[in-house]
Amino acid sequence: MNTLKPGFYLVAAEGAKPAAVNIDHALVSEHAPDVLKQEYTAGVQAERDRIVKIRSYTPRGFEREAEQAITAGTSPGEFATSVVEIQNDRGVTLDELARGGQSVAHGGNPAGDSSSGSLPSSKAIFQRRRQQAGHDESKS
Amino acid sequence: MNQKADSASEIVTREQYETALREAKAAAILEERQRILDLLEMDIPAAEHLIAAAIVEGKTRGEVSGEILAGAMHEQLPGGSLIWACSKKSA
Repeated sequence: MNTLKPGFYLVAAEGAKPAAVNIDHALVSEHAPDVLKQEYTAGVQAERDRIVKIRSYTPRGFEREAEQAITAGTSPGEFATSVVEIQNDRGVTLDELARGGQSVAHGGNPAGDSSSGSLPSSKAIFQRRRQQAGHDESKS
Repeated sequence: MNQKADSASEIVTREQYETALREAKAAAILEERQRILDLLEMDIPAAEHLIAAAIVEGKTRGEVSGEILAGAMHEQLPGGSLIWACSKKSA
């Protein structure tokens, strides 16, 4: 079956099977630069569109996931689906996203420190746990 | 077999030709991806508009850096004011 692009000419060797049909090299040389350039341009445009779409589907706080998707060649649709899944898994609402930032996308801030978007220090986590433990003991 | 190029008769196989097309497209994708990742790596919040525009317009990181620098020089800003210049330029 001939699946070549227009502008190319096939030279069928005598008795050749369809899959082994050859192309006239001189004619390929004449036309190939344009076709290769078209393929190259199509590749650039497709990749640019993919990345622009991924960026447009990226809510605040999901920048790291977006960069991973860009690097891995993930399609915008797959990325959008994964964002929704992560949001559902973590119970993230649009309201939280609007207020959120890094802490929303990466599982929240266990120390409950809302003063900054950075991850809490281990000291802050243990201190909070001690406080909670002390509070629970005083109840019982 | 006709699967190899026959230089004597100047014949290439369809497979070779299609491989060349695929390779051209794959190279384009990787080069474009790297160009955009380089731009995103700049990570200058104040120049976010410049970087977003550069992604769509096909500019390189070097070109964007040049624009930022040129903007700063035009404004005769002291060193260290590039971010301010970016935000002013993109406003």
